[in-house]
Amino acid sequence: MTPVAPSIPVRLAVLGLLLLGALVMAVAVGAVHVPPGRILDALAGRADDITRVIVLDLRLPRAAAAMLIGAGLAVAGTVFQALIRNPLAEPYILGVSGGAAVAAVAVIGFAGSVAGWAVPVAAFSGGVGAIVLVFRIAASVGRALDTRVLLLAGVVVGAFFNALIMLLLTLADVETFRSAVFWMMGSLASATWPTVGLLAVSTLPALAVLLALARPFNLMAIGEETALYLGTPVERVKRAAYLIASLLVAAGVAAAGVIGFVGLIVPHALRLVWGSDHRFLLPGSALAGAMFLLLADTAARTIAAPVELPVGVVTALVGVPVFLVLLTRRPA
Amino acid sequence: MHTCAAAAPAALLAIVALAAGCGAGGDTAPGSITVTDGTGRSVTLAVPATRIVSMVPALTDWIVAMGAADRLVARTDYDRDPGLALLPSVGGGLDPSVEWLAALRPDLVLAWPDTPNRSLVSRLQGLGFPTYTAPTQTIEDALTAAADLGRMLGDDPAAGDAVRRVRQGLDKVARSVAPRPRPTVLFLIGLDPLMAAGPGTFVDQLLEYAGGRNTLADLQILWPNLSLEEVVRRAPDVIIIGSAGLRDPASLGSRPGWRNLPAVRQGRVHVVDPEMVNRPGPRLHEAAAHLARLIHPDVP
Repeated sequence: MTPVAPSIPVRLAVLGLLLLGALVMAVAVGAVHVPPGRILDALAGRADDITRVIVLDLRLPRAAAAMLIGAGLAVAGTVFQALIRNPLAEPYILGVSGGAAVAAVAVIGFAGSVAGWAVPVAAFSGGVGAIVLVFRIAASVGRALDTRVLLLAGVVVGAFFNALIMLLLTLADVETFRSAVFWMMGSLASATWPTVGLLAVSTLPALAVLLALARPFNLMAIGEETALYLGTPVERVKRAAYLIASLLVAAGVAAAGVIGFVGLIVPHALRLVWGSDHRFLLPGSALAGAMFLLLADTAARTIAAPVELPVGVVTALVGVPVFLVLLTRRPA
Repeated sequence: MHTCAAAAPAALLAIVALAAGCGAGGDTAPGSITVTDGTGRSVTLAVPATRIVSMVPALTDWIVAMGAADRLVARTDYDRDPGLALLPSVGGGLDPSVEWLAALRPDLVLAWPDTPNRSLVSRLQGLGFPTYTAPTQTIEDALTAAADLGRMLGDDPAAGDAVRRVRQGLDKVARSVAPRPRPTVLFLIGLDPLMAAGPGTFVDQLLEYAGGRNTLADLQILWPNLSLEEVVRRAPDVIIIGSAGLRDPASLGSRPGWRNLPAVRQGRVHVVDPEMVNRPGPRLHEAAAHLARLIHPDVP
C-alpha cells in the first residue's frame, strides 16, 4: 500500500467513470458510421428507422449484455481466486464451461433445427449439471469443503467434458461442427432486450450477494481458522460463494458462450494496481470486468467490419499484453 | 340466454373470420409474394426484391444466372464473379455485422440455415428484413431454392429458364451414360485428412447422374473423414479429387498404400477444379457432364 493510494469510494468512482466512457464509445461506434447527432436523436426516439434499429435494437442491448457478462465473469474470477487460493483460478476452471459446452454442442448437433432458446437452456442446464457434479464430489471427501479437492475435481471433470466435446465434434457433420465451434468461441452478437432482461434478473442478485461477502473473504484470506475464530461461518460462505459464482458463470455462458481471460485477468490487474481488499476488489471487478468486455466487444465489432471477430480473441490479444505490463511493473 | 350463448361464439367467429380475411387480403396485395423457405419459415415480400444481400454463394450464383445481378447490394468474399467485384463484401457470410446489414436497407436477405444459437435469421426478421434461408445440401434443395428465388424476383422468365436448363442438362447427362455399367467412385474434397463426399450430398448425386456409384453409399455421414486404409479396403474404380487445398497431386503417390490402389494403377485418378463442385449453383449440369466424361471416357 502506497501512502497515496486513493480511498475505496474514489477508486470505484474512477472505475465507474471509465465504464461510462466505454459505454458511450460502445454506442457511438460500430460497423456503420452513425454521426453523434443522429445517435442522440435515436436515443430520444427521433431518428429514422435504420438508425433506431442500429442504436436501440443492436448496439444498446449488446452493450448491456457485455457489461452484465463481463461483471459476472470478473466477480466470479475474484471469488474463485479467493476461495481456492490459487492465482490460476478463473470462472471456467471448475468445469462449468465444459458442462455447458457439452450440452450445447449435443443440442446443436443432434436436435436438428431447434427453437432459438434451446441452446442457451441446454448450456445453462449443462453448466448447472457440472456445478452439482463437482460440488458433490468435493463435498463427499471429508466433512469440511476442501477447496483443493474442489479444484482437482473441477479440473478433471472439465477435462472429461472436453473429451466428450471432441468426441461429439468428431462425429458431427460439417454444419454442426461449424455451429459448435462458433458457439464455443463466444459472441455477444445474439444479445436482444429479452436476453438482457434474463441476464439482469439472474446476474444482478448474484452479484449483490457476492459483493456482500467482502468481509468474510478478507478474513478467509488471512486463514480459514482465523476467520472461524472471528465469527465467520466459513463453510457456509465457501459453499454459498462457490454455488452462486458458478451459477453466475453458467448464466453468462448460456447467453454468450465461453469468453476467456476476463475472469482471470481483471481481478489480478486490479490487485496489482490497487491491492486486494475485497471491499474494493469485488465491486471493482464488477466495474472493470464490465468495462473490459464492453471495450473488447466494441473492438470485435469494428476492427474487421463488416466481419465480426470472436470476442474471446480480442480479450486475449488485448488483455494479455496489458496484463503482462502490469505484472512486470509490480514492485518486488 | 341460449340465443345469447350461441350468438357470442358466432360473433367471435365472425371477428376471427374478418381478421383472417384482412390477413389474407394483405397477403394477396398486388405484387406481394410469399414463399416458404427451406426451414419452414414463410417469407413475405411486399414487392419483388430489388435490394438483395446474399450470404450464400450458391444462391448468389443463381441470381447472377437469372440475370438479376443488378439487384444484389452486397456479396461475400467467396463470390468471384467479376460482375459483382464492385459490391461491398459482407466477409465470409457466417458471422456478419447485423448493423452493417441493416444499414444496406435490404428488402431480401439470403442467409445460411441458421446456427441455432446465433439465430441471425430470426434477428433479421425481427428487425423487419425479410430473410430467406435454405439448405443447399442436395440438388433438389438447390433447385427448390432457385425456384423460390425466381418467385421472389417477381416470376422472372429468366429464373424459370435457369432452373429448367439445369434439370434438362442433368437428364441429358444421365441418359448418355444410362446403359453403361457403373464404376465405383470416390470423390475427395480434402486430402489432409482425407475427406470425401458421402451419400445425400449434391456431389454424391452428381456422381449418380454422371453414371458412377459412390463407393461410400453405405455410410451415414455427409462428408466423412476417411483413413487411407478404408480407401484401400473399398478399392474404388475411379478417384476424383476436387480439393481447394491440393497443390501437388503427385504428393499423394508417396503415401503408403496409395500406389497400389486400382484406380491409381489404371490411371483413373482425376483432379477437378474445386470451384466446379463446391456449391450447387446454376452450372450443376455442366459439372455432371464433366464428371461423366471422367467416369466414362469412352462416351462421346
